[in-house]
Amino acid sequence: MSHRLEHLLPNGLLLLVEPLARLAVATHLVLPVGTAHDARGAEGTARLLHAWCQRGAGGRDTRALNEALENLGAARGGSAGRQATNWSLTCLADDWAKALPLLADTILDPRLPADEFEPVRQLALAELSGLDDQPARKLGVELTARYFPGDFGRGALGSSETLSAATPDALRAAWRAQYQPAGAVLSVAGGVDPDEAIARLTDAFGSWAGAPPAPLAVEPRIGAHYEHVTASTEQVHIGLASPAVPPTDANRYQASVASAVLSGGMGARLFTEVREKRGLCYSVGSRLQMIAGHGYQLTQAGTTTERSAETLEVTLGELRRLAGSVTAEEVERARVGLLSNEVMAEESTGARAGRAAQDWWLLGRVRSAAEVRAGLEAVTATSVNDYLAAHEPAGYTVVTLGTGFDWPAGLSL
Amino acid sequence: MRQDQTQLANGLRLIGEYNPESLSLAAGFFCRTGSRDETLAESGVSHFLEHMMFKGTERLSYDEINKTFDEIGARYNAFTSEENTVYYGQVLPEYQGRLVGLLAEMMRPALRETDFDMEKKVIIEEIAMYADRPMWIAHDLCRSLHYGTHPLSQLVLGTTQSITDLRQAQMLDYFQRRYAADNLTFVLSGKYDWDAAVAQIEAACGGWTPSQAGRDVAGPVAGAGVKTTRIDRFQQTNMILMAPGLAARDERRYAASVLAAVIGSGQASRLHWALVAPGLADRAQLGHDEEDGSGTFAGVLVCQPEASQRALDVYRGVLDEVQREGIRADELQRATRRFASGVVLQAESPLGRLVNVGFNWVYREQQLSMDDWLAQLRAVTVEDCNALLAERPFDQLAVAAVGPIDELH
Repeated sequence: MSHRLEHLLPNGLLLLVEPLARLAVATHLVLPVGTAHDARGAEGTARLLHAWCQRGAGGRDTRALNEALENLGAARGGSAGRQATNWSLTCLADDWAKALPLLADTILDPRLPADEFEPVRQLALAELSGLDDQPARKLGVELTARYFPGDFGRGALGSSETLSAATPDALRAAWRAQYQPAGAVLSVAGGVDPDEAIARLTDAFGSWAGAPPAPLAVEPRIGAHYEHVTASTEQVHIGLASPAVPPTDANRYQASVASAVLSGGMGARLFTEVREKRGLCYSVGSRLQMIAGHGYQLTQAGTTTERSAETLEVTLGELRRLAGSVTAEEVERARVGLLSNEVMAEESTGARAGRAAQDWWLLGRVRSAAEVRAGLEAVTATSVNDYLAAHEPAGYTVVTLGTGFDWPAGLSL
Repeated sequence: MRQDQTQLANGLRLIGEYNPESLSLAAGFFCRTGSRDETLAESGVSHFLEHMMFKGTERLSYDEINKTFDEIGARYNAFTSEENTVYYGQVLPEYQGRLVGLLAEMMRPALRETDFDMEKKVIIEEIAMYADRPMWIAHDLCRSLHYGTHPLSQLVLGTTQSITDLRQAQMLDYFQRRYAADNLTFVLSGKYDWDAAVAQIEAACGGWTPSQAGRDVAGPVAGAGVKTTRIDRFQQTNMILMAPGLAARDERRYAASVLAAVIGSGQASRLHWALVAPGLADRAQLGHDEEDGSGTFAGVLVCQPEASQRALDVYRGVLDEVQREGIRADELQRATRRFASGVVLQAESPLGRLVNVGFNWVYREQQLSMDDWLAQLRAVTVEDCNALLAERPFDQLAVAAVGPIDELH
C-alpha cells in the first residue's frame, strides 16, 4: 500500500509525492490557467506559450536544454488545456534529481527568445491548418465551441488572424501573469524517497511566487442546438454534447457507470446498436468528460454520407433510451470494467502522477483507491436510472461535419 | 521476471514473461499472417477476418463475445499488419481463465454469412475513414514505390472494390491456410498462472491441426524515387519516406534502431534541428522497422504545402550528411538513453510487454528480457552505425507526398 505525502509550499504550490518501488519517476504539474484565459483577439496564446517555453531555459539555449534532457533519457511533455496547462516529465529514478531542475527551468525561467518566436508561430499555424486534415479532431473542436458558446469555448488553437497578431511582448506578459504557483499542483510518483523528493521540489520551485488569474466560469449551453460545418471529407462526422454532473457531485459514479453502459466496451449499447447490429460505422463512442466545475457527455461517430442520417438517429435514440432502461447486468459489466481500469492505471507511474494531480485539480483532494472502489460498488441499476431521469438533458448540442448531410426528417432535438 | 515456454504436439507455441510486480496480466494470440500472405484476389482478407473473429463461434454470438470481454473488465482489441494479426486482452489475475478461454474459443470462428455481410459494411466505413487521412494515403503509396510488386506492398485494408468482391468462401479458405496450430503463438505477460494457462490451452487448442503455412520471406528489391499525389482537399503536405533497412533476424538491427533514432527521433535528433526547430516542418522523423527477410528505414515529414520542396530537400540533406560523415558518440549515447527509459516505462504495463514478447518469438524464436534487450542496445557502437551508413541505404530513398501540391522532385 503506498502512502502519498501532501505538502503545501508557502507560495501556494501543492506538492504530492507518492513513493513506489519503481525504476521510473513521473512528474506532473497542473497550472490553473489554460486556453480559456486567452484574451479576446489573442486566442492561441496559451498554446504558443507552452511551445515557446521549450525554446531554452535557465541559461541553456534550445539545443542545450533538449540535449540535457535527452542525455538523461528524460521525456518532457504536456499541453495547454482549456482550464489548465499541464507539464510532465518522465525519466529513470536515478536521473530524476538531475532532470527535475530542467523542468523547473522550463517553467520558471524560460528564455522566450525573440529569434525563435517566428518558428513557434509557424508551427502553430501549421497545426491549425493541419486540423482540417483530421476531421474527427476538428469536429471535437467545433462541438466544444458550440457547447460552450461563451469565451470558455473559443478556439484553443487560435485563428490565423490571432496567431499572426501575436507578439513576443504580449506572450511574455502572458507568461508573467499566468505562470504562477498559487493554486497549482505538482505530483510525483515512482522511485523516490519522499522526504528527499519534497526537499528537491522545494529547492526547485520554492522561490517561485505569485498568483495566476482567477478561474473562468464554465457556461455550457442549455437546450438544443444544431449546426453543420461544411468540409470536403469522405465521411460525415457527428458529435453530440450534453451536460452530466460535475466531478464534486455525489452522483459522479452514477454518471461514470451510465457512460460505460453507453460506451464502455464492445458489448456496450452504442457499439452494439450502431456498429454490430447495423454496420453503420467503424468508429462510434461516447465518454464522460470531467472538468473543474462541470461534467459533460461527448458522443462521436463517423460514417459515409448516405448512412449519416440513420447513424445520428440511432445514436441519439440510444442516448435518449438510456434513462429508465439500464439493467443490473449492464451496471455489473460497467462496474467491473471501471474497477479493472483503476487497477491497471496504477501499474503506470505516469498515470499515477497524472491522476493524483487531476484529482486535486478537480476535487481539491486526492481520492484513495478504496474511496473510488466504494463509490463504484454503491452504484445500482436503480441509482443509475434515477440519476439519468433526474438529469435528462434539456437538449443536445449537435454538430455535423462533412459534405451532403441532411438532417433526418422528423428527428427533433 | 521469469521466461516460460512450451509447445503443443500440434505445433502451437506458448510463450510467457512473468512479472510478479504486475497487478494484471495480458494474453494474446499472435497469428503469423497479414496482407503479405494474401493473394491479390483476397486483398484485405486478413484484416476483414480479424473483425470476423469477434463475430462469433459455433457456440457464441458476437454479442456474447463482446459482453464476456466486458464482464471480465478486459482492455482488449486486435490489430492486423502486413505480417501479423494479433488478438489481445488485459485483465486482473482473477479473470485469467475466462480471458484465455474466450481468446481460444474466438480462434475458431463460425464465419457466418450474415455476419460477413454486415461486417463488410463496417470495413468499407473503415476504408472511408482512412481516405480522410493524408498520412495513411502517403503510407500506402510509399509502400508501393518502395516494395514494388513484392507482397509487402499489399494493402492491409484492401480496397472498397476488393472488399466488396470478397466472398465468404475465400475467407474460409484463407482462414484454414493461415490460422493453423503451427502458425499461432499464444503469449502471456504480467502476473499469470502458467500451469493453468497451459492446461487450458492444451484442452481448447490441442485438437487443432497444423498446416505448415509458412511464408516466402524473400526480400524486395527496394524501389526509389519521388511520387507526388495532388489532393486539393487536404491542407498540409504529408510525406512518407522509405529506404532499405535490416531484417528481423539480422543482428545489425540494434544498430539500425539506434541510427534511426539519432537521425530522427525525439527533440534532439538531426531532423528535429534541421526541420522542426526552425519551423519548416511540423513533423520530421525516422524509425526502423524490421520485417521477415527484409527491413525498412521509414520516415515521416509533415509541412505546409508551400514549404514542401524545401523541406524534402532539407530532409534528404540530413540523410546525405549523415551518410557522408557518420554519427557522433554523444548522439549515440543520447539515443540509447532514450530507448532505455522508454522501454522501462512501456514495460510497466503487461500489455506494453505483450507485443514485444510476442514479436520476439514470432520473428526470432527468441525470449529476450527487457534487460537483455537493453544490453544488446547498449553494446551498439558508433562504428556499428557507421558501417551501416557505409552501405549508403539512403541512396535508395522512396518518397510519397500527398497534399495540395505540384510535382516534387
